[in-house]
Amino acid sequence: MAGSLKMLGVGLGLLVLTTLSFALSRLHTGTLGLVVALVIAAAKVGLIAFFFMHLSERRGGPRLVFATAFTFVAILVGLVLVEAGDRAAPTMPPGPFQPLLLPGRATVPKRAPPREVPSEWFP
Amino acid sequence: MRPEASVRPVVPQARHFGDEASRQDAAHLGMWVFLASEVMLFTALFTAYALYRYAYPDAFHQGRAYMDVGLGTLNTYVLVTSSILVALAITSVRAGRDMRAGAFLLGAWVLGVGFLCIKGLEYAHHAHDGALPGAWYDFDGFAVPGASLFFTLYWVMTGIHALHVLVGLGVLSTLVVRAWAGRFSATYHTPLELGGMYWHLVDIVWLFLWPLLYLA
Repeated sequence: MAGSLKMLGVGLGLLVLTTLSFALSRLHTGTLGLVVALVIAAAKVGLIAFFFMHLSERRGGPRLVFATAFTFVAILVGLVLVEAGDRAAPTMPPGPFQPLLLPGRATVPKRAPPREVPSEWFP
Repeated sequence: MRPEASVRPVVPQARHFGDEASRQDAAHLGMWVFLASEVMLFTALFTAYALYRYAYPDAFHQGRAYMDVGLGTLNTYVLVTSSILVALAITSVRAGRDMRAGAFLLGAWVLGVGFLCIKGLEYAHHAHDGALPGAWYDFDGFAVPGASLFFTLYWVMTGIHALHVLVGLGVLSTLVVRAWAGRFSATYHTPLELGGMYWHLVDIVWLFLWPLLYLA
């Protein structure tokens, strides 16, 4: 019974945090809103991992794996963003397809005309 | 008489498997390593999202205006509630109430099916608008550089997540059958704990997808 009450309490906390995240998204805009939403999401992950996924009962290995996984996430996302921030804008990737194919633009991508071969190259 | 000549006792498990607590520890550690590899899969997608959001901040910020925030938020409540039901199933089976545990798991399964139905409704809306991934993008209402990338990542990230939900539903249905067949008890319920952990990971991934795609 006590275990069920604890799980219900954690679940109620998750639902409250979800509502908080939704309400704050109506107030904040831009980068601050994104950071607030991600911090709330991380808090919810902490609750789920420690109580629903039994990390509170399992010391040692499982906690190490959990911490390592999230450290690797931070390293990968962080290094990619740091590298992107150091680039000149024209070198940023345009995406997996031609930007010229966007709706409202030409449906056929523009191509450079074939190069004229100078006639003096051929004797 | 030499001791070796006596009848050897029957040992259900070889000694190197240890006791039940050791087996549980090994199973949980193995499950965590598997879940970490799943985290790495989704990290690649979140990294792509971060890079393209950095490249096209305005398009990605405007993207939420073209999402159905109501349905996305409803899906968040649906998944969180299903996670709570799975947690309650485990506390029930630990108390020796395996029938009640099966009922909680069935509730979580129903909510998972509901999640996929709502997601399908959203996909239908986007397909109707022409907000399709990659070169199929044909949404005139949101035709700025980076818009097609936003929707490409939306389809790929939520699509792979939906595949995980589908696998999780298979796991949950197996657990329901086994719980009601009396295969779990207060002393043995490791498969229920591990299957529940997979379902919670599916929930965790959505808890990040929801703010990134719908809110911020």
